Amino acid sequence: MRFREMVQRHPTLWLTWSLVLLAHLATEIVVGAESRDVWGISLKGILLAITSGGALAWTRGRHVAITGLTMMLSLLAMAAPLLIEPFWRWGTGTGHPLEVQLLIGFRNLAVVLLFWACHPRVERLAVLSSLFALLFCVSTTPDLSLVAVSGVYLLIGVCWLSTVYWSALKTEYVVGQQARAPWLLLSCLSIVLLLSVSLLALPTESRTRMLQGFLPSSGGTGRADDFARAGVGDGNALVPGTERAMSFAPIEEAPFIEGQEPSLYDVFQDTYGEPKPPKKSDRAIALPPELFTPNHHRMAEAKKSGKTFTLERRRRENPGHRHLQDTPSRAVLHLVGRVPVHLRHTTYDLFDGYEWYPEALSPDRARQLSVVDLKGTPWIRWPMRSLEHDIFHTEPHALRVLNIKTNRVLSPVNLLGVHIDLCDRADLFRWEQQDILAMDRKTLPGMTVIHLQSHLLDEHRLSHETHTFFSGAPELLALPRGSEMESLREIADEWTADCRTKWEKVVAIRERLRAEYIHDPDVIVPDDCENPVAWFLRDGKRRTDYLFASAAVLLCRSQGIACRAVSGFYASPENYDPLARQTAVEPEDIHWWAEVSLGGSNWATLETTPGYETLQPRRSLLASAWIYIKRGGWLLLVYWPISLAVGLLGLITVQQRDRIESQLLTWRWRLLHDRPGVREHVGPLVLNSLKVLERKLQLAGTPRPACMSFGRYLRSGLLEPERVGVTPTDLHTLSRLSDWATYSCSSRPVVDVEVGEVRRVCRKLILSTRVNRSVPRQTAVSLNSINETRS
Amino acid sequence: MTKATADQGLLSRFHRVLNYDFCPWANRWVYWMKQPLVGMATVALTAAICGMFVAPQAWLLFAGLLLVAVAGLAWPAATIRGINARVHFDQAWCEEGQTTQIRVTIRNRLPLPAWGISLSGGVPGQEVLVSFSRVNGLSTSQYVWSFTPTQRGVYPEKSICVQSGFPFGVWTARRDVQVDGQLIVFPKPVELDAVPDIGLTGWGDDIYSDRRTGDSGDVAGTRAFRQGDSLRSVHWALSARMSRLICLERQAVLHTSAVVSLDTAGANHGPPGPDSSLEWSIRIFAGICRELSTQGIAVRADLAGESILLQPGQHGMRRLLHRLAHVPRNGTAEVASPSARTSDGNLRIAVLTERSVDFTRGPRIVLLTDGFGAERAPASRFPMESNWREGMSQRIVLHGPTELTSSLKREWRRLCHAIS
Repeated sequence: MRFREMVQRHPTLWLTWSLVLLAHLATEIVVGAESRDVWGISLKGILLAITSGGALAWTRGRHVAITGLTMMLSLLAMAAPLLIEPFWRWGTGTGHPLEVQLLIGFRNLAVVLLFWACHPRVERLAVLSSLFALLFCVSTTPDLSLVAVSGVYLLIGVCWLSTVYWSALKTEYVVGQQARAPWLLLSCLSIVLLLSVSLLALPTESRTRMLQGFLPSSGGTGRADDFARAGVGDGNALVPGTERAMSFAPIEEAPFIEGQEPSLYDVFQDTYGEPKPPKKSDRAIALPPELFTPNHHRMAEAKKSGKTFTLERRRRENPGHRHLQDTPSRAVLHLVGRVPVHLRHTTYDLFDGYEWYPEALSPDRARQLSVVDLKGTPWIRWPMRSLEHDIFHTEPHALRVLNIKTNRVLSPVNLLGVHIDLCDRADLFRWEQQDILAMDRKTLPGMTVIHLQSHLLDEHRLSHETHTFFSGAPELLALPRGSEMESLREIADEWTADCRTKWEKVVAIRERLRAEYIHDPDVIVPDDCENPVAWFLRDGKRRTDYLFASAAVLLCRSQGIACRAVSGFYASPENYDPLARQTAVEPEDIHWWAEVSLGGSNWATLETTPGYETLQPRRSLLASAWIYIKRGGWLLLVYWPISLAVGLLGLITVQQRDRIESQLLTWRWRLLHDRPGVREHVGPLVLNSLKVLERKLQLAGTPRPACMSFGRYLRSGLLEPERVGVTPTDLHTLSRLSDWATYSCSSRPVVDVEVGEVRRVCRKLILSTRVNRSVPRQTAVSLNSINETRS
Repeated sequence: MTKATADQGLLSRFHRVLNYDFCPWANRWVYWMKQPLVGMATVALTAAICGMFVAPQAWLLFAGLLLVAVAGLAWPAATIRGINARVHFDQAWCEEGQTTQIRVTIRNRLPLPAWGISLSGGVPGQEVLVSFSRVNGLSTSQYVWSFTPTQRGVYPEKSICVQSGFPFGVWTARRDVQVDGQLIVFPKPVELDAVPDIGLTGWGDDIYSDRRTGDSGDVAGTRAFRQGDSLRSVHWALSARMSRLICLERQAVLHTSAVVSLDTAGANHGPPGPDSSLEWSIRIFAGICRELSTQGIAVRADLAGESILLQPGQHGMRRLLHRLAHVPRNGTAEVASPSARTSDGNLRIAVLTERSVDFTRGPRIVLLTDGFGAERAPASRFPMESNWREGMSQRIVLHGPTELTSSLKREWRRLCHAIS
């Protein structure tokens, strides 16, 4: 009976109690997430339910007042976890991470406030605290049971809102009315809402944006927490890979699981098709004998191990990649940094007319790797012979290997250094090719972030320099011998006839190839083709990227420019995810291009395939502005009807700016002061209306004289009452109110008048003041004219 | 005991500090944050941030809150757009605390019933006036609203709105209603049962007092003979029966007048409300005027810068109450107290506060504004208060509404005797 009375007198109290209990349950689930102690959580929940329920009934009967004790207890309950934690850690050796302490604090606050919940404002605060506690719980642990708790919380919360609203109604003053709430309707509505939420497809895979950790225990802030629940930090809790195979660590000994990641060979096969079997008849072209003999052994070895790349390939059967179809994300790499970027995997120097041979590493030219400490992080660096000319910019990138089996560090050209967290030993790396760095292990550890620094060529500056290209090694200048090679040289001569420097020749070849040929990945070299590169240049226009690269290399070499072909990945700007701020590199992004030697260990990327771009250095502000202006102008020309319409609209806007401003002022005034239900005092209404009126008068060309107060202006007759549609008495009243609102320190109006009446008069005045362009603008009204008006 | 008191003082100080309004000027910009929708929006925003940056499960809460907010916004808006309400004040006037019936006609143009509709505005201090649990769809319903005004005035003071926040109350849609007529609520005069003995002024008609004895009018009673009594007043038959001289007492002729003044200046009163000093001043003022008028004293009422000569009978009193009902709830703008007018020799009774300017003599009823509707401030802050309290026999000082029922009558009687 007593319980029923209580429910009738304060119907929301037990709903509040339920909400707080749910928040407590969610908190306990988070706190006990690791131990999975279901019985402990349940027992605590039941104990709190009984205790708080009893206390609630006791306090409800006595209507406990809000005093300083309430405030003190609330603050103490909230701060208690933070205060107790050091002693707890000292005493028990266990502890809670900071986010859990804060969470418990919120829960405590809700529980304490429950005892004063008979006061509506405390009750609302208790519910809000419990809601925040639940939200943080849900955000902290991906436990499915929390989703169920959230659903129940939502259901009870909706009931709580409805009950609060219904209990605030004053239905008892209506004679003969039965104040029954539509509980059935409200229940149905709650269930429909819950079902709607449960049917929503939530992005459970990952968060939309990645942020650096902002809580000490979540990693990323540089601080370690022994009691962190999870995170990617490098604290003491990070278990070495030797102990737990599922952990990841950038150390050599980590026994990474043998995965199903595709090797680069697989990706080449899938993308370009399998190589055709070698012909039995002799080839029409071959390497020059002076190069063939010293490189014979290397070529045979490369061929045997399948590291060569032949231009004669079969048509690919399945454009998809069978290795990656069943994975949710097809990305093999994630790249953070500016794109497009050419990530090099293999460089090729020897070309026998059909087949490319990977560049060999000569031990005497291998550069010594060393560890350099840069701003507290260990970088693997090597000596660089940089050019004297200031044509390079340093460009940082970060790479995360996801789904590819290779030990090579996929990097842009002119790599300066490599950094992997915790990796401070140079002997973990080695040179795989002349400019290709690799980790001294079978594959790169998955999910490891590799930071790269490279030199980016500024082509604009290079074109101004009369730079001398080194000839390079004979392999980089070698042209195969054959019947059609001479015609290839003639083509190159023709394309570069007007060029003075070697770089101009490179640019001319590049532009010609990009302009006159089309990239088509499905085209293959025909079976009866004697010279694939000549066929590329002579017959047809649609070719694959390795043919573009091969042609570019041979054309440049025919002009005495040392260059080589490169295979790797092209990180396309199209795959840039602006939310994650990273670029996904997929198997389809496998690509071929050429590199031109600039001397020493410096190279320039030569991208001749249409549709592919090279990364340019960051522009200065002025240069960027100029480019945007040019692009904008071009867009204006292309979409000239829209440009014309926008221009005309702009002209009309400028010409009619006074009218537009006047109308906007009117709308704003009506929105703020003249809509149904708005309640305000006379003072602000009069002042704001006068401000609007003054500006409108200025726009209308009849401004209020500077020597007149507004009250005097209204009384002066300059505003004709008949014209604006108000009576002189109204105008006089408004003038008195204007003086009062402007100058009086009293908050009581001098005239006892309804706000609605004042609003009506102000509305008339504001609406009747219109911009009339036929009236010349007036900056001031002379005193004589005022006196004349008065008389 | 001392320690406990000190602890309580510390806690109350703590409570006061935490509840102190340090920047009242900013309230107008932050009070909107008390709306339920703002709280929900804050949590929803936090949930979205958590979902975006921390854990995608938080989107679940965000979606739930968003749905509740959308339903809580759209439903009231649709309900109010389909509702037309009209309020009819059929009764012209009533007294404070008296229940009056008001007709409310609500037309629902929507096919769905409208639940949880309320009327708001028009009555100061009351957010919600009356609520209607259900209005059937596509119908016009008429309701009778029992309205009991707690404060005198002209109702509605502002426009009345029909509002709905159903089903969740997170946001309330409003619309003005059409109001027919108005209700004038008279102040309820306090009950007084004594009149000061006022000397004759020599003017006026033959009006006899029920309480004062004299030589005219009807026989009021008998008493023992006193030296100086006229022999014509001796009741001889009764004297013979009682064996001593018994005199007849007759009614006294009243040719007296009194000026009762009321300080209505808003600056001299506390914040408005049913229990404010102004409202109680008006009630006391009306009570004095009614009592004096009932006893046949010619009363001139000074209030709000004007002087009203009270006509004998109900009509005069009603006219005064009508005028009092129209006194602004915040008081008048006039700062000068009415009691400062020049005296004409009549009895002057003033109802005023400790803030009023008072430089005339006569009985005073002084209300201390701090006790009426406002939190009581420390006595040391108001030296005037102690002056009012000390040794002033012709003054009644009232500290709050609670004293009105208990001590006003007693003090008034004392004051009447003191004047006599």
